[in-house]
Amino acid sequence: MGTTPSEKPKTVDKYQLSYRIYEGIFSTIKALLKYGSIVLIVRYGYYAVLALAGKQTFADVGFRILGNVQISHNICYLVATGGILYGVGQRTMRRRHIKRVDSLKNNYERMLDPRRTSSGLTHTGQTRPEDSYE
Amino acid sequence: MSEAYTVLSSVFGLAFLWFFVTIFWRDYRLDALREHVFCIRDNLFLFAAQGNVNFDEPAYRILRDRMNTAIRFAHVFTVPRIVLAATLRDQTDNTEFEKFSEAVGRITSADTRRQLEKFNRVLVIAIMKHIVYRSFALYLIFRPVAFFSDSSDEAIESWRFAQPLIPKVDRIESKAIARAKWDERFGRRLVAA
Repeated sequence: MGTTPSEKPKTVDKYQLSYRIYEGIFSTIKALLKYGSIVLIVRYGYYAVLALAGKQTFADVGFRILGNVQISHNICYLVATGGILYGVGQRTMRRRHIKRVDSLKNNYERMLDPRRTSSGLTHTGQTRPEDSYE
Repeated sequence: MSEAYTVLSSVFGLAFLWFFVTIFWRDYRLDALREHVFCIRDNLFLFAAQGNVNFDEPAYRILRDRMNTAIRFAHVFTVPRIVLAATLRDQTDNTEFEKFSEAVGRITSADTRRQLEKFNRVLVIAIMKHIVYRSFALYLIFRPVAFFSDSSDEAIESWRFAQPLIPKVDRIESKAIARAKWDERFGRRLVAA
């Protein structure tokens, strides 16, 4: 028995439906983790303020973990590393972008103005090595 | 008391980390992928402008459309989606990659064929890199490895573990393209109504 023409769309629909369902499950888990974590952070911030006000002391496991100096330092190192990586990445991307767009733009401008002059910077928009004296 | 200060300092650090990972890092990686694909698309354009392939050649058009979709739908390339694409059995029609392979097969020049296939692989690798680096934790693990080994597009292509992943990435890309086409049709219908 061969498959009837109406069977293929059914399997396609079934596949697309199951794909959407799993995608929905993943998105929900992701949103729970994302917003759940910020709720937890705010909760511990609130506990810390209460403890500083001398109103309460906390024996909570999370409070003990976050109260560990070593862990606190490691979180700060992670933030600093992330910031540096982000900055360096953005700089690299900006230079790559300049290199990509610069040559096309210059060629078009040269077509309109053959006597067009240049700033003399490198293709990535940096100071030329021979010009770098202070 | 000092424990409460430490907790407060950790909380501020975690809050910064949360904003950094969920907003800034995601946006930066998205921009990085788009910049990478723009570069590949420019190189493809120059390759065609040099007369190596006709601008009307179906393989060129498919590849360029795929790059445009990758730029537009860069945000859908995530680890959960690659897991889904890898595990669910797809019953849908031919993927864009298969259509591209057929179109490339019809080109007579072997050099042009090889070059277009290379552009395609570089595109898939750019998406694969993005999927891994999109997560800050995975970036911290894999970026040093990539730094000490050759991580250029051409070198990664030869990494054995990357080979089986290429068709999976292609499948996600095909889904993004199908969705783009559907959005376009649906948008037109809405405008017409």
